[in-house]
Amino acid sequence: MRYLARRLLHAIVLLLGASLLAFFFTALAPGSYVDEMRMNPQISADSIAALKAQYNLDKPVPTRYAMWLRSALHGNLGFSFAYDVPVGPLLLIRARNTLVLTITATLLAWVIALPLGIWSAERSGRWPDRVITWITGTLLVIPDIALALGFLELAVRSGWFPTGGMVSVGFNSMGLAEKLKDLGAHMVLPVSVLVLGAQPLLIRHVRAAMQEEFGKGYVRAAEAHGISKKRILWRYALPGAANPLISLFGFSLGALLSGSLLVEIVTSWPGLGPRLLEAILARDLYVVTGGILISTVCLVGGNFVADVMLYWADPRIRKNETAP
Amino acid sequence: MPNLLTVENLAKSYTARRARDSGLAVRALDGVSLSLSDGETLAVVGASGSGKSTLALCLACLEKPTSGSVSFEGRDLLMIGEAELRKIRPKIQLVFQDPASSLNPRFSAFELLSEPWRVGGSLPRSEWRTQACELMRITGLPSDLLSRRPMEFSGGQRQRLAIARGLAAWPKILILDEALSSLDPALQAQIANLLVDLRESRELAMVFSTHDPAMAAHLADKIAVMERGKIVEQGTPREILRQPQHEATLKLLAATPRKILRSRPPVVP
Amino acid sequence: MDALLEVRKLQVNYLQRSGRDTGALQGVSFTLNAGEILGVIGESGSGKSTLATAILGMLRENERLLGGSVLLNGENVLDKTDRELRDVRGGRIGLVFQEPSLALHPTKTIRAQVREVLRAHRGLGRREAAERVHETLAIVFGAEAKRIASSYPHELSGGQKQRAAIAQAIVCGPEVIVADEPTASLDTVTQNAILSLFRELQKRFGVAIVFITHNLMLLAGFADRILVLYGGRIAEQGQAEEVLASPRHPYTKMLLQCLPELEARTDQERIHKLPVVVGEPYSFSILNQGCNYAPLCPEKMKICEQEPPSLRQAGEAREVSCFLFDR
Repeated sequence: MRYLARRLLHAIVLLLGASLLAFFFTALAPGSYVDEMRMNPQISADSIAALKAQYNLDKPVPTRYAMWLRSALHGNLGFSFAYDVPVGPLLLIRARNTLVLTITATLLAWVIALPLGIWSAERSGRWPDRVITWITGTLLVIPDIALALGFLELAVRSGWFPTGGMVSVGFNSMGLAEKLKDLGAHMVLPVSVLVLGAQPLLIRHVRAAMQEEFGKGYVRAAEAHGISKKRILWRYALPGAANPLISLFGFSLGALLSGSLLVEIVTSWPGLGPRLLEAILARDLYVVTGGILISTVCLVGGNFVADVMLYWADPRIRKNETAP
Repeated sequence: MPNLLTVENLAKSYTARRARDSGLAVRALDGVSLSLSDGETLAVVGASGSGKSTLALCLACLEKPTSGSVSFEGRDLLMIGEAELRKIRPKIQLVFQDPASSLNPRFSAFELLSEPWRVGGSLPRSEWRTQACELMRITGLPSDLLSRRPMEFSGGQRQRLAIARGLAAWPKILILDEALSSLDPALQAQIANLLVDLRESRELAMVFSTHDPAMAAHLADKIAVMERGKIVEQGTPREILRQPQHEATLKLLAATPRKILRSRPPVVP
Repeated sequence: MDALLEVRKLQVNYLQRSGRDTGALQGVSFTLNAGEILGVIGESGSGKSTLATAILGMLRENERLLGGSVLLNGENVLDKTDRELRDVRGGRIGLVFQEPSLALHPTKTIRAQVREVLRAHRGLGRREAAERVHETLAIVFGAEAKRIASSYPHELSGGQKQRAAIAQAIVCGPEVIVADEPTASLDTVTQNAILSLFRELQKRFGVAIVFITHNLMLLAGFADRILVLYGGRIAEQGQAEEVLASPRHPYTKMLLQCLPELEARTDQERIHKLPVVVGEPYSFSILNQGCNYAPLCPEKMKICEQEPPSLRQAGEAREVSCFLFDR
């Protein structure tokens, strides 16, 4: 238990640190939101000064951070300069959209990668393994953006699936089945890119972990005791590979909010990514800080979930808790 | 004769992280005292977990004891600073039980042997090759293996290479942590003969740990029997074998296979 | 009496990267009778571990079977299908490895691991299986069985881990146990305890044991018969007491002499050197036309370098492959 409490504390410190850095970097970057308005001769200097005071932009950065932190702890992440709405709800909707995409993509990616990785490791050196390794190697080399553009091109040319956005016009007036179909069709493009992009890393890690297991003494001992290969795979090798695979899964979970930024922008998916980009360009300070904070929460949360799973799966980690 | 090495009340405790709070600790060493003179061979005998390896590591200053003192040539090694300690390290060398994992697989034999001269600067570069060949010769290794890596050596050759590396620093004390245990009997005998040679030619003091009392009695001037972190009995081989006192010693001696056969009950199929 | 296990002219090669295969086992034949303890002595490179895996039909990727058979109650194990082999392994022949820490799964309890082996062979109901597992653990661990059953390998000592591995090997009641250097990583006191356990198994269940080791002394008072393996060939075999009391083959003689006896020299005596023959262990890469031991043999004759000696009688129930014993 204390192991987990420590990990939680660790997580909190990480969150604080991330919010600090995000805030300071954005605030210290040259320019502020009101600078755009200075260009406009119709807005008087007084108005700008009043605006600055209203947004506290005239106070020094550390003070601003302290104020932000205080209100953040009460659940109020500030206001967006550009949209003049609270940051929280603004980002949460976008976060939800991103999650729809990434959860689907992550599940699909793992469902594909696990069997392929295991299969590849079982037939190590033979042609199935070589083919898979070649394919993942090629995928690894192709940048995500090239993949995205490639699929986009395919979508445009063939018209098989929509080329962007999350839902079609008139979504709200569709029946449930229609809605699902529409959403699904829009998801094909970004999900495919995400899944394909994740395969090389996942497959190779699964393969490496399983190969290591197959070389272990207890696998050979189990063979010597007459246990069937299938049982060895499920009851000996996979549990043995659990440690590295759980950690990898933790990364996948952690990237749920941050890993799809590029794909969202290219495919015009209304997720967290595009909003964040927009806010950065506009110096919309609280949106940027809020967005990074939410992503970090997800990252830290994902790793924490992995820690919990590891604790449950591996008695050796539990051992370090009790006195000898 | 003044002592080369004096150990007084050496203690080493390992605490599992949570155990620190509940006051429970594993006492690997629990008040060990011994002494070693120039050219003397001390055997530390004990079962697994008796603390032999921890003792070897502490003597070689690779582990910091929780309390007690290790004095080399009159100076307490735990009191002097890092810089001073680094100068003394070459004089006390450790050979590990498993050469496969303690020899850097990326280095060639030559690089491994010349490491102490590279770091300490005790030998001019021009002499490195001659010294390395000499070390190979002393340990019975063919000199054409100098350019090879440890993995290309056989098990026995690797162990000898590990000993050669220990000798390269020209130590006054060589510590062997169960260096013979994993070898075939014929190899054990060969390495034992090598150690006998080294004793005589180099006036080398040795501390070797083992769980085989026969090898201890054969090679050592003094034997120390360890159990659970304490030395329970100390003496010359003659004393220990003729009049063993402590239960741990008796157990060890009884477990040692002898060439004179015991009678065996007949087997009823 | 028909032998329980009969190995006939077993020939296994190592595949080397250089392309030239070398002989790991070069025509090894021996028998094992029911309830007998056969000690197999060999150093690294003698082929002893290959023998263990060959008996189970579990040759590694770099080992190739060239010929010979392993007959268990008359049936050739090496001819069996994969399915049949799985029945034999663990079911009729149990295997105990050298390193118990490697042979046990780190995140399964001891009870679970023993149960797995049982499950693979006997279709027992849950309660019967649990009872059987408990019985087996009790045989091996005595009073501590209950506590150890729920423990994980990392919580056990070396000796306890080896006992757990032995439990796995015997839970299905095999007729033969092949133990490949089971005590090599243990200290002498624990070694003895494990040997006692093996002897008890032999006495109580009449199981035959092939005990492979590199320590000849360990077999004193333990094995019924001894087989000395050198360079992939049998150097000598016979009744244990006789082989130990009067070894015939020069290699066996050297093995017995080379380790120090448990005795102390007087304080003035200089340490004598051990009478071991200096030289590298048998290396497969050297092609040998004659006896494998010839390069190191102190009693070498001319013929020894020209042709390999076959096993011949050298006394009652004793066979030696050495030209010194030609009639």
